[in-house]
Amino acid sequence: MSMVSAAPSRRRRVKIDPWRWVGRFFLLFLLTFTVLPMLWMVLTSIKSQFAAMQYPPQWWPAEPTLQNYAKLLDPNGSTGQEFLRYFWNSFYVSMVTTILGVIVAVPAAYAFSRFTFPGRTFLFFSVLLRNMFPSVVFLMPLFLLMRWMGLVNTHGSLILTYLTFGLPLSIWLLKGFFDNIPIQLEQAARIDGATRFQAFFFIVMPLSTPGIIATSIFSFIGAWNEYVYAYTFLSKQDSMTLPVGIQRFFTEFATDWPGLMAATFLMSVPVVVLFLVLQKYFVRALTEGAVKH
Amino acid sequence: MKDKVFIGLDNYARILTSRSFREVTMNTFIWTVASTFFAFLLGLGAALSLHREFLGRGVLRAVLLIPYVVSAVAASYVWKWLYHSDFGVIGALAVQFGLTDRPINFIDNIHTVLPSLIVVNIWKEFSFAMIMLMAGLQTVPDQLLRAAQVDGANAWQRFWHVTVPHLKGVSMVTVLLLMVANFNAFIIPWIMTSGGPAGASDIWITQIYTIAFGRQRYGLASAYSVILFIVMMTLGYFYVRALTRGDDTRVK
Repeated sequence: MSMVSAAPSRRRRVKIDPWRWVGRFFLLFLLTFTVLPMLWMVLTSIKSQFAAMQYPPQWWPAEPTLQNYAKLLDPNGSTGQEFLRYFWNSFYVSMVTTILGVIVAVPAAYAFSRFTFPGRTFLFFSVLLRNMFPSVVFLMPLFLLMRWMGLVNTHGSLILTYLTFGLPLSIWLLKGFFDNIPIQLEQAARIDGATRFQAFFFIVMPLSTPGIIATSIFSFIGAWNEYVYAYTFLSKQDSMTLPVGIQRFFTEFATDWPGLMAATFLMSVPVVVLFLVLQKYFVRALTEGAVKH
Repeated sequence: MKDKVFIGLDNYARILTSRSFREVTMNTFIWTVASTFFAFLLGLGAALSLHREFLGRGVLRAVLLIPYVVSAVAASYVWKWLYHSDFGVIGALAVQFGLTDRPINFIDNIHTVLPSLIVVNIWKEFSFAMIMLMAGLQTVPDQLLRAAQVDGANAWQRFWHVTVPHLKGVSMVTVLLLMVANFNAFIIPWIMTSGGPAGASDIWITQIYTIAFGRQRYGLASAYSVILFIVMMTLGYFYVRALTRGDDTRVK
């Protein structure tokens, strides 16, 4: 690449830059470190139980098979039924959390961005500080609360909890996006006779679409991966989400590593695909607020 | 739960004087500091290496970020399989390269379990530091770097005197967020070892969980949580300060 950018006349600048090589080797090392575990997961998932339990291991599966995936995705088999149930539960909970989260976070963030009201700063930082506490600390009080409301073993309990925990972050992210939209645009619309709501809905909302997408991915991935609450609130098997369900699966068939690897693979597919497709927004959401330009 | 007796600070005294508390605190400390340190270091290296435009840069960044997006539960199971005492690929590779005669039993040995879990944690979160620092690097003005070059600064001097000061704010926030996340980490230690063997990988969070939901000692667990709360508040104070620091300087 350096050859392309450096014209022949500037030859003398094309000398070996040791730092660049250090960087390349470092990246190669990181790539290996990142990819090898994932590669081994995939390789194991296409082995039979017998092939996986060998020492020394079969570095490359001698007889690759898709039977583990077939078993998990077969709607007629008992394993498949269970797995697909967990998958659907995870999807349902994450989807509802995301949609409700956006509906609540958008107006809230707009208010934080545009209005001043008593206690605004306090409210904002309390919202931020919430993020600093481990979920385990809130388990007991929330569990008692859910029992009191009769929500234990329902998806409602999870959705409600995820909203409580996801909203602060969503509001924080969206506020950053709203802050970047010039208020003059709204004022111009107001002068032209739009109500505040119309100005918000037709001017601000379309401009903040990237922010809304970013927040949605964040809350979807968060809800999909959440484990602690799902583990505590749900004990009925047919309401479990994937992270918890997969564990049951593992302890029941204690040694079925290929099956487990296939399950973890399928479990990672939705979030990884979502991330790869909407990467730009995800990265922006991650860094928004912390990096001042 | 029937007889509610006020016992003052007994629970706190019990925790602070127990022997396991010291061990667990030590583990928590090692876990938090080592994970944060190495994740930050790898992230910084990756950000610096990825800063220059080259073919496949976007793809590489995306691939490195995948561990951060996948569920910690999935990651824990995959690594548990990699570390497996008989059929684990890491042990087999170590034998293949002649490092040991027999596969190492990583997570059933009290000496190797904590470092092994820390590696998993670093694998999962270093790309977070990478992304934050990449964004931070974009705020370093090119003119300054070029000016330094004209003035005869070598690569290291340019990095140390121009880039590093610009990264200070982002680094602060990143380190704090990593510290908080590691301090609160539950899934990886819980799924991989549940604090075992013999408490060698028990950290505060897993300990609280065991006390509350395993032994049903809610009072003790609550006292533990309060101690944790105080530590978090301290970190939180620095977090808010690091986030608002930019505002203050701008007002001045």
